[in-house]
Amino acid sequence: MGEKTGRTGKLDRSDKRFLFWSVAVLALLIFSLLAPHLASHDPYEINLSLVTAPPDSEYWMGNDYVGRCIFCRLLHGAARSIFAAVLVVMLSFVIGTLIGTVCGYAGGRIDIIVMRLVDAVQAFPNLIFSISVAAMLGSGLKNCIIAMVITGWTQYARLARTKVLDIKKKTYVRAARVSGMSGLEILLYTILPNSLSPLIVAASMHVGNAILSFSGLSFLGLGSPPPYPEWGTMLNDGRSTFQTAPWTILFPGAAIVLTVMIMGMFGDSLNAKLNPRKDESNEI
Amino acid sequence: MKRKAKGLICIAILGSMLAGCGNKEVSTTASDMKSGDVELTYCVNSSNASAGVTHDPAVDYTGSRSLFRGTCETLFVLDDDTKEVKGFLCSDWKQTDDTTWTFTIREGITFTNGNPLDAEACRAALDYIFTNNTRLGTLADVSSMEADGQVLTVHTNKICAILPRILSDSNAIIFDTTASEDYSKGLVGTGPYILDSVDAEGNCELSRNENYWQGMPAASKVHTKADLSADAVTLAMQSGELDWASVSDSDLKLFEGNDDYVISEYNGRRVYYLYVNPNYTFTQDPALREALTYAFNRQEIVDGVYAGHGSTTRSIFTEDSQFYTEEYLQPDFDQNKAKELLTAAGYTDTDGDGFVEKDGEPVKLNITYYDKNGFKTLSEVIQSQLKAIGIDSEITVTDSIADTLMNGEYNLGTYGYNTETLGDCYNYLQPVFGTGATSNFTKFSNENVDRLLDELTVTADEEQRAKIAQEMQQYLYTENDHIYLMHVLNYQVAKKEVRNLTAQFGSDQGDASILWKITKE
Repeated sequence: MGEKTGRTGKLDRSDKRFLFWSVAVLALLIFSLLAPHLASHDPYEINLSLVTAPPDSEYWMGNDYVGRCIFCRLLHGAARSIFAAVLVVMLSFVIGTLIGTVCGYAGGRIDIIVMRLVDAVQAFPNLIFSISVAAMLGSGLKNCIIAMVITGWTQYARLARTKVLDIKKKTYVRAARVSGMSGLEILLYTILPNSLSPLIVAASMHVGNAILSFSGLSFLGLGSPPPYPEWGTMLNDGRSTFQTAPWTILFPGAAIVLTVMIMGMFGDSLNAKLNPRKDESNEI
Repeated sequence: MKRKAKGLICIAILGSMLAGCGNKEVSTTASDMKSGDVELTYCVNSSNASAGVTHDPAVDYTGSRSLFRGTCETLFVLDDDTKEVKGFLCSDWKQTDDTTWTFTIREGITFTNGNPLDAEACRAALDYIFTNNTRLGTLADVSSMEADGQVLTVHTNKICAILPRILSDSNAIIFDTTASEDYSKGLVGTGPYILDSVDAEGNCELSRNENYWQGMPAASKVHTKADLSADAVTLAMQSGELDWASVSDSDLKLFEGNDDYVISEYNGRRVYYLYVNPNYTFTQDPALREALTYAFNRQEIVDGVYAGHGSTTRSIFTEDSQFYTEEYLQPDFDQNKAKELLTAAGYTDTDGDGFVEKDGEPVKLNITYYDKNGFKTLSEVIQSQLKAIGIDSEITVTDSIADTLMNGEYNLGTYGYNTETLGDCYNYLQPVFGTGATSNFTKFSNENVDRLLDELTVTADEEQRAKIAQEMQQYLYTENDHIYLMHVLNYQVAKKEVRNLTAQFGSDQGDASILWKITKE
């Protein structure tokens, strides 16, 4: 990170981009952790004299359909919405990578069975599949996360398997085998570290999608029950008043767009950093 | 020059495309329609989404869908203003003895498939409904029916003084039972419109019944939308897709002061209340239930949740109803009294988390709602008001509130019910308070109430019925298992071109017999 390149020792364009978006993501994560402590009002406090009140100096994002402070609910919702998505990506990454690596290395029946399962899951659009699973499990944050992990792990499994299939033919893997390393050691110390970079890039790009999907599930009422604030739920709540009080939908929408954009740009810059376009023919 | 010419051509193409779009829009508006080419589009909602798109009158209240779509009709209708019962498909009727009624079916009417409407056809339809629709079957309590030409004789198990009123129920529709075996796909009735098609979502296309017995229906086509959400209704009204609709309280202001729309208001006699389950966890405790009757700020609910479109109530009936009595009312909002009652009953906050515990166990109530009528917002406000007296709660949503409440796994359930559907109190009091009745979700049982309900079934005199209902109310609030919050006002928004529409049309007590006259200028 921040690697100096060239004889001048200056950061190149992709380094700067990566640095910028890394700082942005870090700031976003720190902010979402601290956000609940920055709230000026109780996000659960109903004030029926302020129903859909417009933004003012005290409630500067206005009030929702039961007079709650939208700004405070956005802050409280940040941690739930962002960290739920991050958790989904982490779990999908770990499960998918492990399964894909084992399949790629072991091959045979296990590989065939698991990959057909992956095909079956990926045959459905991710969000539709998640909605079905979440609807079966019932609404709630935990069930949303489970539903998204059930659909999310497959992309990592496929990617990891492809990479392992490629790496296990490399000379250094053969060398490791000849040197007497066990299968598990080769997998852990030789193959896995060399297959991680595309998976990390995929994970970084997945976060933005996961936030969108999670917001979608919350929007459909499959997230936490009322009165807990989630950005998707807030969007749904604002639907009934969006013509008479557009701020009820505008700010949660903007928060989702901004966060997804930051995560997406970070993923792009990480991709540019870890997978620069180069001739790989000289690779050992 | 060439660039200019290209620009002009582009503008011309764009202009013609826009004009094309415009023409398409204009071609469906009322002003361009020739006389007799009027098309009506409105929404027919079902009271229970879990009933699906079926037309089968055995299911819940789905018979009303065929009524308000104009395919089927009833033997009787209620006058919108006086609530007097009027013969409709039935031209004459009388009670020949305590348990026998005879109804003379109007002559010269045919079903839209050409079959004649006679007493046998009515008997078959009513027999199917009374046998398969528990609510209506219980209300009518019919033992047998006989048909002879145009005369239908109905025998009831007990004296049923209000049978004509019961037959005006929007589910007591007359349809040709011989027309098909699968009633879920559509019914053949005597109404002004004929069902042409239904899509998977329940949206219907209907065309005019040219042989309609009251005269030529005003519209050539009718399009009905099924179960649109409140937001979709508002948008569809604004875009001009719907000709009229009931609009949510929060969106009503979008149409106020707009000359393109006419807003009408009516008192639907609908009460919003809470079922308090005396058979489940903490609400089994009578002391807790009593405390809850003081816990809710009704005025805050009316103003904050329903934008002031209603009135607070501590009774089942509206104050202008003949069934209302000041003598028996539920307690008024008194937060301190609620807290006192809780403390006296041993509910205290021992761990300082702001919520009470009973015998060391945290008290947490379940609030169940269905996503209609602003009940989500109401549930959140109820949760907040419970918090104010130190009671923790969680909110759950259900698709089928009746099934969920019947299963009994709830503490508080939000509900809305028309208290005078048939212009009478019996249609509310019997299902909700009768022992073992269909909407008696709290398993309420009181022998005095059952006795008075029996009296209602045999009493025809209106004043006497009102007295019985008033007397009954002294027993209805004793268990504190129903907390009445408010009576709502209903609003209908219609395009200014719409004519002959009544405010109540489409509601559960609206007179559907006027549909054939509704038109647009």
